[in-house]
Amino acid sequence: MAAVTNVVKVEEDKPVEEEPASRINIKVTSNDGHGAVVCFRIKRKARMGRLMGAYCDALKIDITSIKFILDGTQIKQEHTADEIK
Amino acid sequence: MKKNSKITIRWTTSMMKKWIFIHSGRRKRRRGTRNGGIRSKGERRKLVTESRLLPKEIIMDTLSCLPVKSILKLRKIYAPAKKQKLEVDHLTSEVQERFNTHKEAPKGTRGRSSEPFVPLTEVEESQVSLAFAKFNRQKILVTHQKSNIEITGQILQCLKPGGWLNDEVINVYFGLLKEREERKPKKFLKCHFFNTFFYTKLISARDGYDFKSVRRWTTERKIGYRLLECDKIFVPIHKQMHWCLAVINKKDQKFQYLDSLQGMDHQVLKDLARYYMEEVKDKSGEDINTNSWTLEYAYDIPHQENRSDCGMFMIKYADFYSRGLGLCFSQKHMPYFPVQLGSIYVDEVDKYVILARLNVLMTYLIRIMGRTVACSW
Repeated sequence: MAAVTNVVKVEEDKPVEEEPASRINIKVTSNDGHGAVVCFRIKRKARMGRLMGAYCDALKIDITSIKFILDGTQIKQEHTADEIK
Repeated sequence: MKKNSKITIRWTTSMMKKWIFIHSGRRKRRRGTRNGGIRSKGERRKLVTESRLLPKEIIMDTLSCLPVKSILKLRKIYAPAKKQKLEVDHLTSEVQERFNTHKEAPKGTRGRSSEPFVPLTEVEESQVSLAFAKFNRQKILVTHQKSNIEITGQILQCLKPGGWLNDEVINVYFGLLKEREERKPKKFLKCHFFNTFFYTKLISARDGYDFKSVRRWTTERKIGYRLLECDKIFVPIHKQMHWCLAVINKKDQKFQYLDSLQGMDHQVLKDLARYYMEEVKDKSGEDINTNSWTLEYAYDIPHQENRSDCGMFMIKYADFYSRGLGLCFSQKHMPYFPVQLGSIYVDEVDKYVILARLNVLMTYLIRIMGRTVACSW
């Protein structure tokens, strides 16, 4: 038997905006069964750490207890939207 | 010390003080010092002879706990000796280290199969214990670049015997297996390893199956190759408290379900069959029918005999199958794996060397199980 340490897994959905704007819409979907969806609109060059912090603050969870995953790859706080596109 | 008590010949700090007292030429007993005085001539002679017989190491040890003033004289005699000794010690350790690395290098190329359970070298062992150490709990030991997973000491704790593997370890191990295959594509089957989130995501939808949510996971741009070319696709399955492995085996046209507790789950294979069909249609536009493929629940595979090793069994199934080998290890070999696995993460530079060591282990296992499988890393 085995255990998974993380409590909540978070999937990040990213519908790419068509217009060449400097901002991007990011949808964060929780994977813990409730399926809470939080939308963000951030700059393309902003670090993901800000988004993660805001998400955790909004849902009142510990940032170390969750992971942010985009298309199967874990993303780190220092990444920007452009880097992980 | 009482007046009439005999002096026992046991080399203590107080004895050392006395000895220094004698040699420092101060005959007069200082007032207030209990152990500084020497009673008689015979006693003194005895003490002196005794001290001469003592090995230098003990003297050096005793010296270190004496006040500085009292050893001033002795230092003149012993400091050079100590220095020399340190130099020698340093030299031996250096030589030994070189010797170790020297010995290892040919082992990697030539005598791989000669040594069965290759014990970790001292350097590696110290690295492992360092990785398990408390002060490294929060420290990031290694970052796996491809998957952005940071391995800290805390994460590695699960590799201790009896620990339950967590998903970081499994994901990084699968990442390493993939890298191994990419380095030597001729020796391994072309495989794809999904991470531990895949199956959870696939069945996360309300009706229990959602292809859309994982559609973009396997684009060619993302993974660097086409998923449909892979002979085997490994999907780790985590069910509440248990790890098991599902394999989409394109080569033999079957779906396999490997559970170290010999359980079976039809739903997993059904989902994977459906997923594979949709995946092929999505990526290449072809229609394939997986209904004719066999669903296989393996029973004759090695199974666990305790409550904690299912993760280890799971990653070992993946390791063996990605090489196209039969599964020929068993519970009794499991204690070796976690330690070896632990050392994979310790040093990023040397990780392939240690992966190679794992292979040595495998080669041996295959041989002792009476199978003649040409296995090379």
